[in-house]
Amino acid sequence: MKQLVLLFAFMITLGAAVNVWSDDLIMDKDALNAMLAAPDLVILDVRTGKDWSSSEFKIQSAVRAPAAEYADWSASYSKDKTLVLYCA
Amino acid sequence: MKLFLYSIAIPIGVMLSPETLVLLGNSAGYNGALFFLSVAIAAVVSCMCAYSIFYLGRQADEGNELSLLAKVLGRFPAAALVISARLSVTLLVATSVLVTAGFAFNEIFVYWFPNFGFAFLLLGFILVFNIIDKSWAAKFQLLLVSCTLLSFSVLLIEGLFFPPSANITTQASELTSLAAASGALLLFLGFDLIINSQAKNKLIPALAAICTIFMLFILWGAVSRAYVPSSSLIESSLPHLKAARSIMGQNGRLLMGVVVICGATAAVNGLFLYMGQTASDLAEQEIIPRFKGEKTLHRLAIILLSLTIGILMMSGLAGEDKLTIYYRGALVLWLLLLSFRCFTAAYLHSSRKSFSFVAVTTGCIIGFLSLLLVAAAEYTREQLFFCLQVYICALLLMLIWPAMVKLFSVINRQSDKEKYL
Repeated sequence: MKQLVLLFAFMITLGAAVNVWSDDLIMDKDALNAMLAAPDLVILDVRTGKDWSSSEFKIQSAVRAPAAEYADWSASYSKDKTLVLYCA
Repeated sequence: MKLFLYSIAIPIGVMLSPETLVLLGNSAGYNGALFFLSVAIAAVVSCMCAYSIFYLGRQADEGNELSLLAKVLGRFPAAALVISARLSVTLLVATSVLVTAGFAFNEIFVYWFPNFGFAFLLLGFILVFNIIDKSWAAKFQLLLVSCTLLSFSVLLIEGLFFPPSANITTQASELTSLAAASGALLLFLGFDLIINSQAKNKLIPALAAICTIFMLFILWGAVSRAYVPSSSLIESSLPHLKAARSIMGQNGRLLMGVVVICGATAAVNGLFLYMGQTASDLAEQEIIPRFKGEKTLHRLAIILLSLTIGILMMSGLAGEDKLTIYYRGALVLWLLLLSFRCFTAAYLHSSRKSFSFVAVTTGCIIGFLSLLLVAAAEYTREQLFFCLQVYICALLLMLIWPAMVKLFSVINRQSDKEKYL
């Protein structure tokens, strides 16, 4: 029983940590809109196939960077840049 | 008249799918005269093909597409050709256009509704109509095509009678090659999807569908060129939406949204209806069991198709670039099927030389253009590999399936005997 309680507490802590971490990494459109003028901002559109071609909404300054080719394009950006990945 | 409308609803629905609108919009961006010429030539070749496979085929025998092909190619190679072309097109077109419809609904009508959720909802609707009864699915098809044509016509009329106030600079972009022009043939794919029960004479509905689509596409091409710069049409992944927005603003977007959603649903429902027919043809050739009559067979085929499409959508195929390669490969298989159907008609009607000449010429043109499409494609090797893989798989399935059916029936009989002993 004690082990179960510990496991449960661990899972809640882990869930909360992931949530805080992901909240920090996810931004909404208003936050992005406020950042658009920033010179170090790079918007990467990681959509491919129909996800990209069927969508009418494409951010004008976005660079297409397929998620599957992450290893190729990730190295080309310096660490002082703010990378925003756009997937939907 | 009613039967005529039902019989042209499937081809028109398939020809007005969102994928065709993208191809049309991109092609319209090229040099005007060559665009109109290539569409006109494609329409003529399609008419010749319809004449060959429906008129000559009907004169030679009252059989269906599979029985006629089987007379020349043999039962299993013919079945493999029909299955590989029809099944691959149905699965890939459905996956592609349903996802497109999902995006259109999400981005044009209801922002909070998930696009994949809507794609699955549409698939569910189509499945339900087909399971209730084929006649319900046929009525649904007619409704969808009417909505698509009505919305498309409003946009066309607005575009034709109220030209843009500012002149659009149209830079002449040459059609780069014969291969690019041959892509126009893909615009008319679908004219052969006429179901036996809906029309005794299939030639007239097929020709009517080709002529209707030819008129619509030529006019839409002209309107698109008048409203959107050529370079923008060529580069856009949604040229039809761009043109609609330029013609009528937000209302144009809404109308094109209806065209895309209804067109996508009509294309999938139409292909499903025809696949039911193909399943019946296969049962008639004793390649698959009859499953307690035609209606049960149709329902079973639709359930299996829907399940597979659902799995393909959930696997994320739509989000991958290879879907376009496979999709184009499937269309090439369809063109090859049409080409073989022309040759078969010529062979079965060889006594009338002038008629068989038309069929052989059409078969050669379509065969040549389909090979040209593969050769000119960005991923030639992958597309060729896909076509071969699909055909070989279908052939193996066709060879193994009857043996398995026989084996199971023998095992069942033996177990029954053992029970009695």
